[in-house]
Amino acid sequence: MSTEQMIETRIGGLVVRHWPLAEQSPLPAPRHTSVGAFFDRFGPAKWAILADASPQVRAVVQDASVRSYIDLDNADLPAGLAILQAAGHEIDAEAIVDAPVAFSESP
Amino acid sequence: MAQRRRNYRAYLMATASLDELNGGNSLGALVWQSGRIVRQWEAVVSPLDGEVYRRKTATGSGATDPSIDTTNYRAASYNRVTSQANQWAGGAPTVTTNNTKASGTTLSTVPGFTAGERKLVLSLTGRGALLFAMLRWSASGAPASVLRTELVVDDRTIFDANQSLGSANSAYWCPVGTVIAITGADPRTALPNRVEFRKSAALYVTSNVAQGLGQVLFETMYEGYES
Repeated sequence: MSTEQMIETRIGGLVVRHWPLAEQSPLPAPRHTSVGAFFDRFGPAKWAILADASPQVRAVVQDASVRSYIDLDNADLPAGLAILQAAGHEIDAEAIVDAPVAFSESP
Repeated sequence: MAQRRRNYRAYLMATASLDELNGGNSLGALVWQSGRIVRQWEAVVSPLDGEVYRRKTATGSGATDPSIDTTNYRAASYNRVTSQANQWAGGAPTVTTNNTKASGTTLSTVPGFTAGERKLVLSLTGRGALLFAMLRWSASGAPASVLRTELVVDDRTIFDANQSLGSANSAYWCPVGTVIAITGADPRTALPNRVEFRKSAALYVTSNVAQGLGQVLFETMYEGYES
């Protein structure tokens, strides 16, 4: 490919010749939900989880409750959901983390 | 009184250069001419680019314009860079990830080229500064090779280095500027340097074997002036 196919642009009096710009995908938007919307993602198990008095489940619920929002990309989140599953609560951890954030779920 | 003043001025003219009469500032610099005797540290104006240069070697004359003569003259009205080192000697700095790039830079994709071809990957013509330039080539199964990078500024080669490219890795090198290496920050931020040019700057890559696609990140600016 000859240099004639380089792209010429101008910055003031400066002539810039470069190869085609690489296509760029926009940076992903943060995946944050409100705390209430996060609990809603537990589905039918929500009430049982919130009422669970076991220390480990209480710790997970407290940890989520004191936050102003839940970051679904937080690396600690899967471990927290695993604690709920280990306590016998049937939740779909993968769906809770991966489902797109609806506008109504925004913090 | 007037006669005495004229005599004193004639005395000064006979013993001092014009630059010295102007207090050593560059505003009184003479236009350089081939064969003109220039005192050490005297300022002259290059007729080629209109910039001011000071003679750094012993008083003498020459036939090479100061804008080209880096041996005898130092640029006074701008920062003339004569040598540049590879600013990134480490591993992959991750300045491009998932088609995103270090902020503030422009990312271009250079097409593949044949063995021995001296590929022009960036050309700047005018008066300005190159603030950041980084090249990235990915082997992608290509045979191990040696990539030569040259940065030519105002007809002077200020960077000329070989970079080995293995058969299964990527190679990065950074003739101008560097990147901040913060763990977890991806892509990382380009830190500008400044290589000024008064006519042109060009970046070339040559490979000893045929190469596939590569990437060049750059950042440049125009420096306007009165014509």
